[in-house]
Order: sequence, then C-alpha cells, then structure tokens
Amino acid sequence: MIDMLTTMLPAGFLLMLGGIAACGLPHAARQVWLLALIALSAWQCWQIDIGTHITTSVMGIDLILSRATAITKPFALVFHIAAALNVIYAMHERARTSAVAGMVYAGAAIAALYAGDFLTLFMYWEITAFASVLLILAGNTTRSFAAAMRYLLMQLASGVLLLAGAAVLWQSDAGLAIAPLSLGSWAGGLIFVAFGIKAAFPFLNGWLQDAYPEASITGTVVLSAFTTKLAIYMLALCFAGTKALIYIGVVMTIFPVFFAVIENDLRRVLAFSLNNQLGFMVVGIGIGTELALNGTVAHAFAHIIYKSLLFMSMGAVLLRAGTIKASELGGLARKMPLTTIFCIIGALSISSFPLLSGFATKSLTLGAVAQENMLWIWLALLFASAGVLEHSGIKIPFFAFFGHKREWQVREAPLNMLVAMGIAAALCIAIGIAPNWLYALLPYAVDYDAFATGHVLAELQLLLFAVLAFVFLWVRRLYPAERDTTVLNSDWFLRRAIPRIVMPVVRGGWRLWCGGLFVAQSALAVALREVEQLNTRLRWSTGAVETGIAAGVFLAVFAALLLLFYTL
Amino acid sequence: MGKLFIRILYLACAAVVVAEFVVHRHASFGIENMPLFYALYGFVAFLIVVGGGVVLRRFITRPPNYYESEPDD
Repeated sequence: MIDMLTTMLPAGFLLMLGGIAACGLPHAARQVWLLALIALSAWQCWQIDIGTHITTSVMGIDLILSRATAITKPFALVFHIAAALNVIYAMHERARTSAVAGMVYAGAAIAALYAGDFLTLFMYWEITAFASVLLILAGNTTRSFAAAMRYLLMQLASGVLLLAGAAVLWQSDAGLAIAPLSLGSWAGGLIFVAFGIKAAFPFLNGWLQDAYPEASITGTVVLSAFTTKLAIYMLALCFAGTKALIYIGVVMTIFPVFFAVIENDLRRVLAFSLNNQLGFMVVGIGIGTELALNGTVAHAFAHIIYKSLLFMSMGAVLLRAGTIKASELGGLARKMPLTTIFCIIGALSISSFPLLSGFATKSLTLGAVAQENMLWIWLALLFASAGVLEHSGIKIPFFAFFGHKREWQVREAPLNMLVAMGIAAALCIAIGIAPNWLYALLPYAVDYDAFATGHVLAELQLLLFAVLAFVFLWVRRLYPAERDTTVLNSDWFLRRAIPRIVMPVVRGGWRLWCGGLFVAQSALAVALREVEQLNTRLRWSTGAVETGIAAGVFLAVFAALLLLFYTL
Repeated sequence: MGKLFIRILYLACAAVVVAEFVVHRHASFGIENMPLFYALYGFVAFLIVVGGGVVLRRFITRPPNYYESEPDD
C-alpha cells in the first residue's frame, strides 16, 4: 500500500480523484473525507525523495509523471497546508461545487510540482485553470462571470504558450524534460511568457487583480495560494539566474504599492499586495544564488500562509459586514475582536516585523541582494518593504477594524473561519520565532542568522518610522481619503483598449477596404461603359482591328486599377 | 486614533533611535553607516508611497461602475 502510493500514484491524484468522489458525500462526511485525503496526500509527498519516480510513454513521447527536485518538498508541504486551511475555512458553506473545485485545483497544483516534463505540466496547468475558474464563477454575480471569462482567457493563453514552447523543444530534440532554459531560444521565450502570465509579470498581471476579488468569499482564499506560486516554482526550476528576472521582479515589487494606496476594495488591495510579494520571489530567482533561491522558497512558504490569513480575515469581514470597500468600513474591531487579532498577526507577518514569518524569510532575499552588492536593487526592495507596510500592514487592518467609527450590528466570524485563521496565525508566529524548521526544508544549507541584533534593529527602525509617517499623515488629515472608484490596471487593455480601440480600428479598416473595393468597382464599370461606347463608335467607322485595340486598352486600364488597388 | 497607541509608538521610535548608538550593526553597503539610515528611509519611503498614490489617483481612477457603464461590444 505504502509503496503503491509512492511508485504507482503520482502526487496530487489523491486530492483530484478523492475531491471528485467527495461530490457524493453528505456535508459533514465530506469535510472529514477531504481533510483525511489532504493528510494522506501530505504524507505521500513527504515520502517522495529527490529523483525520478514514475515515467510512462504515450505515443512515443516519454512522460515523467513524478519527479521531485530540491525545492519540491517545501512547496508541496505548504500547498497541503493551504488546502487544509481552505477546507476548514469553507466548512460553513453547503455548496459542494466550490469544495470539489478547490480540491481538484489543489491536487492539480501539487501534481504539477511533481511533473517532470512540459507536456505533463501542461495537462495540470490546464486543470488548475479550469478548476479555479469555478471558484470565480462561484462569486455568482454578473461581474464575477465576466471576470471569470477574462481570467480563463489569460490562463488558457498561458497554456497555449506553454504548449507551443514544449512543441518547439520537442522539435529541437532537446527533450521535454523540465530543465533550465535560455531566454535566447524560442522555446525558452515562449515558456518564459507562459510562466510570466501566471506569475503576474508587469502588464501580464491584470487578471489577478481583476478576477481574485470577484470570487466567492472562500474562493478568493483558495485562489491566492496556488496558481501564482506554481509559476514561481517553475520559474525557479527553469530560469534561476536569469538576470532579466531581477529587473522584472523589482518592478513587480514597486508598482503595485502605489495602486494599493488608492484601491478601495480591500480584497483587491490584497491582490495588489500579492503581486508585490511575487516580485520579491522573482528577484530571488533572478539572482539565482543559493541564498537567493533559499529566500524565494522560504518566502513563498511563509507568504502562502500569511496571505491566506489576510484574505481569510477580509473574507470574514465581507461575510459579516456585507461589504469590503474601505470607504464603507471601519470600527469592526469591537464586534469582531478575534478576526481583528488574526488579521493584525497576518499584517505584521507580511510587513516582516521581527518574530513573525515574513521577517525570517524575506531577510534571506534581501541578504542575497546585499551579498551580490546590488545597491540599487537593495534600495528598491527596501522601498517596496515600506510599501508593503503601507497597504497590507496598515491599510488592511486599519480601515476594516479601526479608522472611521461606524455602528455595526454584526457578529464575530463563524467558528470554522476563526479556527482556520487561528491555525494560520499560529504558523506565522511559529515560523517567525523558530525559523530553523523551515530553513531545514530549504534546498540549500542556511548559514544565516535572521536575529542578529543589528539586523533586527534596522528592520524595526524602518518599520516603526514608516508607521510614524502614517500617524503623521493621518493625524494631520493628509492621508488620502478612501473613495469608491475603479482603479485602472493592465486589464484595461483587455477590457477597454481591445473592444473600444483595437476593434473599431479593425472594423474601420475592414469598412475602408470594402468601401475601396466598391469605389474601384464603380470606376471600372464607368470605364467599361466608356470603352464600350468608344468601341461602338469605332466599330461603326472602322473594323475588327480597332475592336482588338479597344479591348487591349480596357484590359490595361483594368490591370492598372487592380495593381493600384492592391499595392496601396 | 488611540492616544495610547501613539504614545507607545513614540516610545518605541525613541527606543530604536537610542539603540542605534548602542548596538553594533553590520553593514553590507556604505550607506547603511549613515546615522539613522533605516529610520529616515522608512519614513521618507512611506511618504513617497502615499504621495505617489495621490498623484497616480489623478490619472487612473474612474467611477466605480466604469467598466459596466456601457455594454462592451
């Protein structure tokens, strides 16, 4: 049985197949079944050592269904943690579609971690896209339906690029195995963009902030964990040390912080924040040293937990208050004290306050940048850290639970939500206080003391004085008031530029083309009549030779017109 | 905002400033040796983030129902 699990059944299949089977179970039994499956699957992944385990051959193509690398185990572990938190957080929901979709989504993401070739990866890449879109559809509004379709379009575009890249690799006899790629090659370029869409690179990021906040309360939490981190994992396997990623990553850490300041939907603020966090991981991959890759993996691990926690707390607010707009919220701390505390723990973690998880993990990436002596990159990441504090550390808890005093007739979040948030918060603290158990999971040995006094002091100065800046702005009423607005983002190109600008241009061009054809045709008809009349007169006076000349002239005019028309 | 919170914050800020002159800090870059580099950087960076947001707001915000205002064709 044990051997069978590791040698016959690829990782993630337990969740995918068991998740579908859960359709037939009554509510309570389904919860137990799903949690048991996750535990069994986590145990299975824990047993899988580095190396290739399951291969098969389909139509002459060798597929690697199970292969673990040095960074597979930490990702698989945290994906299981996220899956379990999602089940607990959604226990109050009777609808089974979301529960099943969430489980298949998690299973496919875990299976993708163990995929050893690009074709197998493509298969899971598409399953995650289709399973996750159900969670956005579960938002059950016209907006969420439209957002889900745009989301699917982007996810499938990523899939097509991945498949195209795999096809080019296959042609070039390089083999389909997932291995380091060069940006200079066609295959490398195509696969880079495929990963870039899912990792929300600048200008490819619109779908994330567009779709995640439109999903159901529980759906957004599920979505926040898997797709983007799967892309980070794949980038780390294929493009570690690609210098372009350093600059892409820096841009990713910087631009979302400005958007997050003015965004009113707090779940969308978190989606911008998610983008900024991915930037830190992408920088680590770009540097590609042992310390940097350790930093990326550790950061992804901690990030999945505190980001889930923050999305869970905002989901609880949305459930109870019925809105998630900063302009309509405030003062919920008295009614939802536990949610407030858990949210603050998540906020302090993401802001990387010492003794919480973000500090123990982000430090590795910053340390790696310092090790490479990249001063400007380092200053940019430090700046972005202050930005994280602004939107996730302060804005999220402050405008939901404090800020403007409003009267609420609401209860604390349901028990299952509190339990899920409590576990996530405990994990944030556990990683923060004793990061060594996480460091032990990292691909390379960690020789790094996060708690060096000078380092702790530096971080505290940065964060406390940034908070001081907030207090200064708030007390003097200089902090920009929350306004209910739409913030334009790169999804504008898909939603406005294409339907309103590109399509009219295409349509206009088509009309011009048709109009041109009509004019040319009319001109020809007129010319034809003239020639005919000329011909009649000529024939009356002369004979057949002249008719031939007339026909020749006519043909020449026709040819000239045609030539003119098609070359213009 | 709670007066107690603000007082604690002032105290904490004062404490980390004083600690600067007691604790030895290992510096990777020369700029880190500047007195109170991190405190100043955090304060100024925060103001730039918020200020940048205010400027950006003038250009990229639209009414809340911007995308729903007219049917996309």
